Amino acid sequence: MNLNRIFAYRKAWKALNTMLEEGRSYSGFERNCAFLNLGGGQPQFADISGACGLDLMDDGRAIAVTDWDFDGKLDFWISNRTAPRIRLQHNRSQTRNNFVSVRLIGVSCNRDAVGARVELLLEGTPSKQILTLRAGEGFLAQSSKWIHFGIADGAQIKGLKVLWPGGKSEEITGVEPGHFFMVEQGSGKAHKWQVPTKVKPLQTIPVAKDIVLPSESARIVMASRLPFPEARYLELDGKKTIAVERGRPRLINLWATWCAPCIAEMDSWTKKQATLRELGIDILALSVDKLDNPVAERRAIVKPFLEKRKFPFTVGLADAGFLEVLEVAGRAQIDKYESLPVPSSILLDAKGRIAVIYKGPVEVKRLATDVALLGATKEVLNVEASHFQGTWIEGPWPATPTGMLDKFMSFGQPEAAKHYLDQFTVSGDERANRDLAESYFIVGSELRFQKNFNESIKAFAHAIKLDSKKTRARLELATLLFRMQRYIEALPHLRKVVIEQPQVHNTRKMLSLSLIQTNDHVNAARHLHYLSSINPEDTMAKLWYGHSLVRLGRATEAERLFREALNLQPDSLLVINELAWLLATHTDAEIYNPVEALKLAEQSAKASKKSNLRVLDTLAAAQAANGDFVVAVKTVDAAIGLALAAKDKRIMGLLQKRREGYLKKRPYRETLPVN
Amino acid sequence: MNSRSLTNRSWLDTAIVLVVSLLLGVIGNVWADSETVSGRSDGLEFHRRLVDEFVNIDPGENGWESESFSEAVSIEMKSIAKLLVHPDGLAAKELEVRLADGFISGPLRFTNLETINEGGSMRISRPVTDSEKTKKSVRRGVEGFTEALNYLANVLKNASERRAKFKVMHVEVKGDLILTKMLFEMHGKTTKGRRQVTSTWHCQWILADPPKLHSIRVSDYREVAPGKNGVIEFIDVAPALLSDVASYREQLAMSFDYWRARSDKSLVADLLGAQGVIVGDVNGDKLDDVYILQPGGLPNRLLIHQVDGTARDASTESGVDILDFCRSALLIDLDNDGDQDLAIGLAWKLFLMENDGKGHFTPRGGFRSEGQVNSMAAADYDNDGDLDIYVCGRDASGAIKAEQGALGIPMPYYDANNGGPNTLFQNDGDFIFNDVTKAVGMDVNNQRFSLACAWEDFDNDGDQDIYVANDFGRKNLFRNDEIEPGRHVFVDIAKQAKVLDIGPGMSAAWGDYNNDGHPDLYVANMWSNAGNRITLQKQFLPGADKATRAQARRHARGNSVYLNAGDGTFFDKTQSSGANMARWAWSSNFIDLDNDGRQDLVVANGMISAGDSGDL
Repeated sequence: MNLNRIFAYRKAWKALNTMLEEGRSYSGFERNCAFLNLGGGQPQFADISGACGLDLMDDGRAIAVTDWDFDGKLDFWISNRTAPRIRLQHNRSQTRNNFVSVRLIGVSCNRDAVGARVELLLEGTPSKQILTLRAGEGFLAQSSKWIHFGIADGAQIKGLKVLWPGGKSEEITGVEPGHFFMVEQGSGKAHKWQVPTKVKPLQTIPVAKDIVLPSESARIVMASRLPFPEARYLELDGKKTIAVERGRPRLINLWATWCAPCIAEMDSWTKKQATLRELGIDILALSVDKLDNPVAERRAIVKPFLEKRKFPFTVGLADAGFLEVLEVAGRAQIDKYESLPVPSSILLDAKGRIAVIYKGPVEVKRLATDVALLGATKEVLNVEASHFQGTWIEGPWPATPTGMLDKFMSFGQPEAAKHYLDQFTVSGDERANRDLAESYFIVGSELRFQKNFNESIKAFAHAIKLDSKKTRARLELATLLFRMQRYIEALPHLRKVVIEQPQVHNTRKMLSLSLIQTNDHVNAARHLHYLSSINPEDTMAKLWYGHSLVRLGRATEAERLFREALNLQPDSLLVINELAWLLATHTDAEIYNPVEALKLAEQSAKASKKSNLRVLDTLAAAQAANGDFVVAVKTVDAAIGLALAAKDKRIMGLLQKRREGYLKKRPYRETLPVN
Repeated sequence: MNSRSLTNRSWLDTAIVLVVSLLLGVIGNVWADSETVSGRSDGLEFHRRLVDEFVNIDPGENGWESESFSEAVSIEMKSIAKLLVHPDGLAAKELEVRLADGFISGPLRFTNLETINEGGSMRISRPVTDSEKTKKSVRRGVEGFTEALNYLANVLKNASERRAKFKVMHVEVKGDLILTKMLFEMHGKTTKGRRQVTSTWHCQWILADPPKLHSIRVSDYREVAPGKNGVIEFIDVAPALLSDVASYREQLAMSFDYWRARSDKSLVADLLGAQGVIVGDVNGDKLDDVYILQPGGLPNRLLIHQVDGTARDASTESGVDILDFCRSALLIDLDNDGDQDLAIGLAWKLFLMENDGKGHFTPRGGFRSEGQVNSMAAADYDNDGDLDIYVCGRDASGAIKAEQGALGIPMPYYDANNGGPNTLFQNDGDFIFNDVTKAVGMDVNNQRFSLACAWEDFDNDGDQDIYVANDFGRKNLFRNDEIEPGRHVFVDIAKQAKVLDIGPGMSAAWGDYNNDGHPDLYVANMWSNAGNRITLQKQFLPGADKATRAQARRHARGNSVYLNAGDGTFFDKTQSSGANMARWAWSSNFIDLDNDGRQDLVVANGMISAGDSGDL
């Protein structure tokens, strides 16, 4: 899987969702459709949506069919997304057609007789009408259990058959057009059911335009609370201060000098400051006047204004950064976010968590009751957060930090997201930890996407700390560490992932290479042996397996592996170089082969245009092994040049040492264990 | 009174392009790496090239820029539609600026019509021949166009409630000439009933700002009017029926968005507004009552049908005023005691309530669903005399998401199998239901984004099969096989039955629409204007073969009509059915609108309508 791709995809979804949350239209303003069956052996349908009046534009959802008023014509209830959210579409059709309607009572089958197939046979036609009693169809809907057959003008009923669930078929007598019948399983007869005479015909009244009220004024109570993110406002002297002050409830208020309702609201607070102080509530009133202007200018507007009105609470200036955090919080907490009007206020509890969001002014009386609610039980809050009386079964979905961090990320602030998450500690609640781990995983992935690798590593590490079974996070962490050549740190994670997902070869490869890098050739060889036996065509597995075997004193096997690898990939510089080095420098006479080593080294040097440091090192060693020390020194000098350019001190030291040996006409021989 | 726009909207434009892409699954397929695509065990190969193209797609070269042209054309056609609605103001001056030099048009209205459905409840008529496309009917210039428009508008002479609309279906750029195909519809209410005109306009435009109309040819002309045998008409009676019901005025009369803007996200957490409605006889008086599901924080409503025809809100006294987020419910007799109990789909739970026979309900516990509950449907799958319940679980639970790594977003878009699992709950008596999904073999292809399902004995072998409509992919048709007496298992035969119907499935309905005794199938999928416009262009997936293009196009093609062949398979009648273009469909039901004994169709429609500018 390619994480970057997934995240590009995920971002597209996020963008779509955010846009819809904002209130954008999306394939909206579509009208409901009605299609008339034109009959015949392979009937076609004709669009009559407009002509029959059903083409309303409601974002329709579920349709439940019923002859609601027993007038012999099918009506339907339809639920909508827009207003009104429910309609009863009454069938006012005028035709010469007739109907018959039956309700079934199961005896040996299920009592509702759901699944029963009713067949209506008509005189003079071989075709029959079938209807099945269903409980649930369409989308989110269930239609009536009355089974309603239309009977075309002039047609006569020949018979009615019920195929009860389970397979028994029964002829039913006594059915006639224009009536409603009850049919009990096994009785063979239909009993006429009389529509209550009192049923009045359905009326219509003119409907006012759809009610879509603005949400300038609303009190939104949180059923469960999340911390208000760390946001800084400006004090009047320009000092940046964190808005959350734990220890007592705080009302953060947005206002402006030009906003009359704001002023009225502030005056009412000033008037009742004693009550507010008694409630233990602190108010932080942040001005949004001239947001983009320098602090001094803004202070010049706000300060005299306040002094005149003797506002007794803390006052500050909101800046763009503060409003952005406010918007993050609003988007995370309100289902359909609309820019906050002024005045708006947010009531935080003593722990700095968002308790109530007010759009529009708040009265002191309201504040008093809401402050009293801060310590309320979950059950009370659930009721308070609901719009009407009712019964909760499971309760609202508990708020998780995920919503908040999603918003931070859609504002391009993954670091702020991580910072927000960091205030949640590992708790005893396994599920909460798992959710939090997922959040860290998402943030880590986003940070990685933005190439902020160090923070990404921290986020992934935190994810697995919260949820040790989070293999995806562990794999991402290990991969990052591996790519950053932090092999020692990568090793324990790679080991765990390999145990959990033994079939993923890529992880095992990373593990093997990390083991080689940390000189654990015993274990490296174990994994590489596995990899090369699983896939004998895997050149690199063979090569690194050989590499480890040489260091374990099993050079003979290693040589065989290198040669097999060379057969598979005759042009691979890596393979040629590894084999040439072994042949040029190994102490075992059985393996030592300066002539072939030189041939191979020259081949690879030519192929790499003498620009590869390691190839040159091998070439020099092969030249020295063949007694050509003058050339060897020249070659090693070229290699030293490359090492200098690469600023690789470790290899430079090695090369210098070898150079001294060549000057003393001593070929280089590896000191390795011999089996 | 908003202080100022607090939002940085710069990303919004990008987002719009992304949305159009999403319609087509363009971005969705970036997930599809080689492992996902190759080596399918079921032999269903997605065109490799399609996937590659989706990964590397360049909006600039694949037809997106003509979307802006489509917008310009829409604006032009909007004013022409306006003229048709208010023909009195049909002034040559207004038209002149819109027409190119040498403008030429065939007839916009045909008069030599024949009735397709003689004796039907509505008269559907179409031109007898194309004979009117003679030189005589050719109109030229502004005068000709004015005359033709006037003549068309005259179909609705003296009509009220007039409406006219064009939908741009297809844009093809040919140098300076642009060809568009548009759907036209016009309605109005005359003294003799409602009339409707639909047709297809093929137009040529000269590239300019704004574009200038160069020629028009009209095809597929249809008129719908009251028929000899009567008229089909519907009207919403809820406002009158529920005028005394407080919850209608205070809750249901307000849109979903109204409540969303006032709600803690943890209450509602959904912008689809997909809340169901069910009817059933709650108190045994044989009159249907109605139960309306609501989002979290708003209590579900039970309206009891009174003997005098009115409805009374009995939600609270019946104990069913549930505040939890609910999508669906079923009124069924769960314990065979002769009354209708309630099975309610809470977000992650099948919740049961027992009816005391008088319409009072007592909670009887619930059973967890690992998929977020959408539609449900009951049937006695094992014919043991009680009702079992199939629950569609569209989105995966947190636990599943955490394991599988797709973050809950459908991947790949065209064939996602990382949604929530559906569950078959077997009724084991006394309100105990057991998850038998795996035991009956329904756990294959089971993590699709299922929105709807419908039971039917489609092969007439005496047991109930089920069709499942999945979003973002293929559908399931689980055939019920009784392998030994009383033991039933299911096999997903959607592919061999030819009802795989790969696409964004929304709803499923069975009905024998040709009255041959074999139930046929109507499956709702989204029909997307933008999706069609883009995928129909030649420059979409340039060089791609026919099959590949067809597959891309299919995602926006609309509702499917499958005629039961009677041999366990279906004929795909979508293209010839006339019931294909049903817009962004949700519930799509068979219903005999005019009692002529034939199954007609109604389709609920529209994704998100919002009051702002520019629908996506």
